[in-house]
Amino acid sequence: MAAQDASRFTSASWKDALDTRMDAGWAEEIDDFESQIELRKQGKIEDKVFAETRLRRGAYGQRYDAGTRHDGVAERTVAYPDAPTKGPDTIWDAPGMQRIKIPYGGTSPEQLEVLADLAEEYSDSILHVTTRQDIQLHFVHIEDTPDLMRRLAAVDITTREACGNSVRNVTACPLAGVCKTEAFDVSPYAEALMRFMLGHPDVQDFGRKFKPAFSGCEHEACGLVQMHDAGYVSRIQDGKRGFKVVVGGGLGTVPHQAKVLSEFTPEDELLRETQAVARVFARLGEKKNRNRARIKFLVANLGIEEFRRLVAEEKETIPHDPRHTAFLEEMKQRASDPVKQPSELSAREHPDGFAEWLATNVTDQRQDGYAVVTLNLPLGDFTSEQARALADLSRKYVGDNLRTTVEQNAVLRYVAKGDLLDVYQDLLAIGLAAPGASTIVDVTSCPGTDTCKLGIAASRGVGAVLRKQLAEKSARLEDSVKGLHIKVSGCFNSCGQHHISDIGFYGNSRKADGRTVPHFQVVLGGQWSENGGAYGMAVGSVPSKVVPDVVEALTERYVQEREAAEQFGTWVARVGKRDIRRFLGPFMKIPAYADDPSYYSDWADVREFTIGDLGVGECAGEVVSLFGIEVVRAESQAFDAQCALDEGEFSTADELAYHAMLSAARALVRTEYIDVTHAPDDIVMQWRERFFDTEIFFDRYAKGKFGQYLIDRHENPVTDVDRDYAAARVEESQLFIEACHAAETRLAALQAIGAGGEDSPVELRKPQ
Amino acid sequence: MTPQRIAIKLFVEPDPSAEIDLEPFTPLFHEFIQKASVPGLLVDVADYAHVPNGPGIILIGHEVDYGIDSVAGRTGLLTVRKRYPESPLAEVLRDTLAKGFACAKAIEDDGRTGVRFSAALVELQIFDRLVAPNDAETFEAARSEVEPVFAEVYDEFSIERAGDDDARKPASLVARTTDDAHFSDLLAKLGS
Repeated sequence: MAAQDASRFTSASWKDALDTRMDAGWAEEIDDFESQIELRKQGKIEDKVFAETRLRRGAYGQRYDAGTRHDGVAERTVAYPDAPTKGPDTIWDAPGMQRIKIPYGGTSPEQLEVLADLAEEYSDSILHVTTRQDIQLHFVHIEDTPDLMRRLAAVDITTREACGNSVRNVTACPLAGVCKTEAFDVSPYAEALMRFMLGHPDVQDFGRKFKPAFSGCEHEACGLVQMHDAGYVSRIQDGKRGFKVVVGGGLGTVPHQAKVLSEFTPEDELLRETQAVARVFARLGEKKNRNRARIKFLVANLGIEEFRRLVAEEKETIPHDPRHTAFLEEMKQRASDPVKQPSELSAREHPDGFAEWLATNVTDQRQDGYAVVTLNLPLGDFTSEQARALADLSRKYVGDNLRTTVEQNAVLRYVAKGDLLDVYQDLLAIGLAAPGASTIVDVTSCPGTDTCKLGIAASRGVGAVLRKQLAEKSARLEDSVKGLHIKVSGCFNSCGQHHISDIGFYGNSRKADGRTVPHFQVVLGGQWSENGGAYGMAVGSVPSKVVPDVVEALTERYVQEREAAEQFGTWVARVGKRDIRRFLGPFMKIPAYADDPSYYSDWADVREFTIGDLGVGECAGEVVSLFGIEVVRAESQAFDAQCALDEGEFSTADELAYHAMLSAARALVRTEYIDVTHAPDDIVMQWRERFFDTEIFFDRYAKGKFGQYLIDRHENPVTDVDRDYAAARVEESQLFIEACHAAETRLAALQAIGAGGEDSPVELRKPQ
Repeated sequence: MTPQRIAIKLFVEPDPSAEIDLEPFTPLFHEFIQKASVPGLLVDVADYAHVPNGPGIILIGHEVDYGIDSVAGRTGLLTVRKRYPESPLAEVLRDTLAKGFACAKAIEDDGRTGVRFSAALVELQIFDRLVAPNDAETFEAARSEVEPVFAEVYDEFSIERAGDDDARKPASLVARTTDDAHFSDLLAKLGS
């Protein structure tokens, strides 16, 4: 082979190959990042600084890369061979996750092909769609990320600010532009906001992340604006385009509904107003305590009226910027035309499965003769092979009209109805014609313990089982059940959006028989419509292994008791949470390990379950601990608090929530000091001294966040209790109790190895 | 040729297109981590059993992954060599074959999955579209580099280009032998 030819196989670099195809600014940033990786390898950048740097480029650590992993037999150090390149808690050069921002989910065939290549060359050939329309690749080595980013930049995709304390992906309704009930297409506005905010100097000093979302309609699920830091709902007023703007929503540990900042902000004020919100958030938002640093806390603390006044005042100080309105002209030239002429579905004979797929996965567009086809992706996953085939299919039928969705699916828009049968058969050939999109079968799940360092239980494991079991009996399910939504989070941080589903779950754990048992808290009655307009409430925690049984029992009872066209959430409210909790009681029982060890492992993971925080195995102990007996009272009070909240008794709810925290704290204190009284001051003092000040109560990542809930409520009681205040306290009480369970598990593990005593060789360690 | 990542696939026998039960691979791969049964620094098990014709169950390692892969409808053990110092293709292939053969043997020896792999056919995939695009030139260059490696393990063999001409797909080739090949013998020939 000639020398020239041989060089093709050895010396090429993506940096050189793509030099002229990348935005110059983006290319320079990636070069800088590559240099920072090199400096970190040489030990010339501190861990914390590098961690923030890589996070702002969307490069996350994964669950095992703190350098230790419990392999089911023992916790062991993973001896990564290379120089450390990651942050304080992800200290080793382990393969991690790369998040890729896809603004409003819009993806072209060319972009999809590049994503497929990257998944194959740097990841595990899987593209994962997130609940915020991003694409994530897992098990990516950090040294590969600069080239990965260059290849994305060459097709106009960035990972900048995909994580970190910045403006995250701008999401939007996947039906924007084709929806029958929208005021107008929000997609170009989402694009404009993303471009304007990316790297903007006013968004570099947030205490926490900031997630915007756009919706075309008020009453559909659409962009779920009510649960976002900033939400925009399209409106037309006096013939002019604009937006209802809401701020301060969010799920997370304590969910907040967004408040109305403006009933109508004209389109030419959209960017300036958002810039003003960002400046107020950057200036006044919490910086030190990250647990109170989201904008929802600032809005709640200031009150929406004061926040509105501050934003209006800030707007006046913003210098003129031509970009505030330039996008309005540009967007008129960027419409994406359909590939095919409109047509109608012919009446020819259809193959088996087509009718069901048509019923669940195809939606009429506003434009006659066109339909939207939803690809029901299992847990948001599809392969590189499928992605390439999907790119072909897009070119053939819809061009650039492909989008990812917040339900972890993808949609093809502008499918001529006359092509639907051909599209179905093409999708069938590549394994993407599963019916049941947006039905109970289409379970949403965050990564959970599979890859997320914060996960407590296997949300994807249980999600996969639910999906499989429900799909098998889908034909027999009542229509009222088929239409339900199930969403699963691996922990209380709500990435699976469990608060806005009919039946939601989030991972936690309980102790039984001297071991830790994976559990899921059951959250019922959340509202998917109205942009995620109401949040469900917890009714009780069940072992992970019975979650499919719980879903079956709840849906069967709903079908039996449903009145006329009664919605699931309405049925939950009518029956009442007390009744449902009693109904779930039998599912909450945990058999002894000897009788059924399967309860002590999680779905899709044969290892005995551990929360593994302390680097020790699980201990043997009494079947039911003193704490286990006494914390039941706290759980009962927390539940009563939820019921009081539902019944509009806000002061009672607040008081019960407070007492639930006191009871849980007392149960914990009594594991060390049996004579603690029932006096709140005594309980708080003893608990604080023994567990909070020593940081034993601290979560590895949330630190003292959950303990602070009790301290704040104890020290600063409020007399004028409204719904929002009471709802926050009720939610906090549940999380505080969970934290007590986790602390008790840590304590038991330490006691099992003799930690804490004066002569013990093992120091009573705080979570790292 | 110095590609950044390659993989070899050893197909299930007798019928790679038959569906297999992936469930037993989860406990098996966890056990491989616990006992360090296969080469490499092993860190996790990824479960993609829910994805049709997907990567199945993957034993994730730092420098090598082992997966029961059904991409393109043909199931096999996919050994992906992810990280190594920049090295010639032949050197990396030799190392990847040793790892893949060892894992195939470990799965077969364990027996609980009931799955066996053909040692007589190896598909090589080159995951590097920059230095090894899927074209005839790459195939010829790759063949000349890998032939000596396959000659170490097989007496009689042929190499042919695999897959199709789709420039978007990874370059790949297949080495096929009529030898009565067994993984233990192949490993011995590689000195492993």
